[in-house]
Amino acid sequence: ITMEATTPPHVPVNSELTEKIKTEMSRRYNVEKKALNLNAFHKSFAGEEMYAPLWRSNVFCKVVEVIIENIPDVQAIDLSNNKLLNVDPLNADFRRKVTDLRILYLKENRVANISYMEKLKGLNLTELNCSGNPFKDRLGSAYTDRIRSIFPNLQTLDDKPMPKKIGFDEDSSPTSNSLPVTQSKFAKSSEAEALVLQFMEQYFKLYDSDNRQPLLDAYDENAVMSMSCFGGRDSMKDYIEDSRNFLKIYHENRKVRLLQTGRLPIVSFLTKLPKSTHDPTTFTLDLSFTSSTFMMFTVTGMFKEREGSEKRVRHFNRCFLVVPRGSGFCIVNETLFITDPTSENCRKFQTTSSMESLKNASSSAQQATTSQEVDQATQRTLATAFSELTGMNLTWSAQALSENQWNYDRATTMFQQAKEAGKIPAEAFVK
Amino acid sequence: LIHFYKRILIKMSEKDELHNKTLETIEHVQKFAEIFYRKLDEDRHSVGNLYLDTATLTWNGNNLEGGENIKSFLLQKLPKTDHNLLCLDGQNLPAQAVGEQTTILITASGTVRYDKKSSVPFQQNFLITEKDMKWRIAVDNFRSQ
Repeated sequence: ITMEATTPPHVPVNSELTEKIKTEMSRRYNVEKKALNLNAFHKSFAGEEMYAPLWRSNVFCKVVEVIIENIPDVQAIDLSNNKLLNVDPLNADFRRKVTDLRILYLKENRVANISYMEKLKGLNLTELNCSGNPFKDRLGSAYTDRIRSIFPNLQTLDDKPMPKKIGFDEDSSPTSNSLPVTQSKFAKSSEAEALVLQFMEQYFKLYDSDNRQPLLDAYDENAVMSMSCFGGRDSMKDYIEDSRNFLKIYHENRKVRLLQTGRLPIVSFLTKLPKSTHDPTTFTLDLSFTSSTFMMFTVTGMFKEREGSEKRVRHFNRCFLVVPRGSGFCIVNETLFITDPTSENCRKFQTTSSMESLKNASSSAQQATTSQEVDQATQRTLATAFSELTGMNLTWSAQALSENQWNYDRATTMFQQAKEAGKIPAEAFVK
Repeated sequence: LIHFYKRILIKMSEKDELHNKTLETIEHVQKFAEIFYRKLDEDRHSVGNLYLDTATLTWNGNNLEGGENIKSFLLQKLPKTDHNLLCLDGQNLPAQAVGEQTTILITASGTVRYDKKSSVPFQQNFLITEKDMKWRIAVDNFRSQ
């Protein structure tokens, strides 16, 4: 009696299976690190009715589709232990849309020939792991050089740093591949960042409400502010009259007049602009300058017009210059730029969302300062900000922060979780 | 009564002063933008000198501190660029923030092409300040849209 393995049954990926795949992928996605762990993907479906192994090309293709649609900014993917014969679904379309991918793990798969890897040329990887694939042994000593020729910017291969190779700089001029990956947040100092995030939360809450008058408090008496816009004449109807674009205005006096001077005229001007709803998940924050006399930070992102002639979604860039006032700060200069969003921008827009993703985004400054001691004055500032954010009294706020090593973001997350679980007693909110 | 009229005249001349100061600022902003983007596109080696030694450049959230690091980024990481400036605005900073150190906030926007690929809209905010009678960049904040 002889036995022959039959080809596995062809199971189409229907909508039910797609939903299961999406759910599982979302479980395996680390938002902070932008890392997708698809290691032994089939194991997540063990013993269930629906089986979605990555070695079935229609499943792999569906997974790639989900990545492109939902997490095109992913930076690391682990495809190890999936019995993969090739990585064809990571095709030209994938490489065009998923441009931030830098780390790829393909350990313990069944890729038999380096020609399958050559198809990935164009993927700008800095770290790759192909150990446990038959093609690696097959190439022997030629392995490293062949990989290097496919991925010239690779720094780590199979958990070891790439050996340096002496060669010629035939084309050493920088290309768009040499540009750094976009970070959604940068802050000069994490203490200032906490204050700025709190300010932003309050500012946009007021700005998005039906009455913008309370924004008066945010501005210095002698503040100046100007708005400029660019876009189609029809699209920008509600803004073009007051747009202070030096490149488009002919009369010098008009350029002067359009500078809103003093907080009453500023808020009166802001009140005239269409009512809005901002989407904080689209926000970027750059806190690029701090000193004892002022700070400068820029927020970009999208908002939807709740009224006005067009009710469109817009992209904005808003630069604030603030000076200390009391225990907080107030705005002395502000520029607001409004334009139409690109189709990429529109895809990312959602209607209900919170500031969580921006708070949790890793900032290069954070990694350097987490191990530092937080001095008393900063502790007081953070406790006050946390108290205003959560509604808890100062004692409880300080305690919550202290329990989280004065990491404002972590304390906020812990607070949300505890609040949802009903674990915070009423006395915490008694002032 | 003379005192009253004097006060009005002073207020009017203050307003005039402010008006002229604003006009001056606008001129500086326009000149700066023209020089900066032209150098960036056509004479990349000279752009680094527009920055203060203590300047800071934040490019899509990636921070570069100091003239040397900024020059290095501009020459080694940023590909050939072709900027099309579409919108420009700027304001003078108050003494409350910068004392006697004249400083201007600039917001520029447009589209940029890298190595002949398709153009991408961008916005850029600058703080320029005076040093040795020349305008230098203290802060440069770039964001692709």
